[in-house]
Amino acid sequence: MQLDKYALKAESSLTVFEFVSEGPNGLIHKLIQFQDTNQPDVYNLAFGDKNAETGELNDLAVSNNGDSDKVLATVVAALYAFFDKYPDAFAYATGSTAIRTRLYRMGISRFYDQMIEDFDLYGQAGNEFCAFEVGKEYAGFLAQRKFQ
Amino acid sequence: MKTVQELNDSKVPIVRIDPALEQYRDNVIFPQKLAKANELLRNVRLPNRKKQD
Repeated sequence: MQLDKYALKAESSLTVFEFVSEGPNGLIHKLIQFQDTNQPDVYNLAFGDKNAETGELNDLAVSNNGDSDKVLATVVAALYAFFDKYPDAFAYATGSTAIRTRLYRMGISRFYDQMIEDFDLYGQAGNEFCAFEVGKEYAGFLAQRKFQ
Repeated sequence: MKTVQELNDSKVPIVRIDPALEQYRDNVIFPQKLAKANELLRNVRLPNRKKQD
C-alpha cells in the first residue's frame, strides 16, 4: 500500500529531515531528527515544528492541520530513508507527554501492517522491550529494519 | 539504474539533500526529547541486534 506523503528534504548524513505540512492552518514546517542516545546504535526519533520565519523549534505544538495520516506516512518514509543509510541501527521514539506517547502508539498501530513487513517493532514496558502489540500501552517504541 | 516504476514502488523515498539543513546536523534539536529518551533508555535491555549479512 502506497500512502500519500510529503516530499522529504535532508542534510547529507540523513539524520535530519524536513517536510512541509499543508492544510487549513497553512504551511507548517516539520523537522525530524534521529538523535544519538546513551545506547550505542540507538537513535531517538525526535519530531516537531519549525517556525519558517524565526527558525524557532517547537516540539509541543499541536498543528491540527487535518493531515495527520499524511504526516505520519511521511515520518515512516523518513524512517525508511534513515534505515537505508543505517541498516544496523535501532530507532526509538517516546512522546513528550503521556498523551503524545499514546498518539505515537496509535500512529504505529495505524501503520502497523505496512511497518511490520519491513521492521521489527518493539514496545517498552519498564526496562524490557517486547514485540509490539496493537492496543497495548507502552512507555516507548523501538524499531529495527528486518533483513530478508 | 532503477526504472521509474521501481522508484515509484519503492518504500524508501526520494530525499532531496538541502544544504540549509546541515546547520542542524551536529546540534541536538528538541533537547528535551533526547533527555527523556536517554532517561527511559538508561537501564533497558535491548532486543538482540540483527546485523546485515
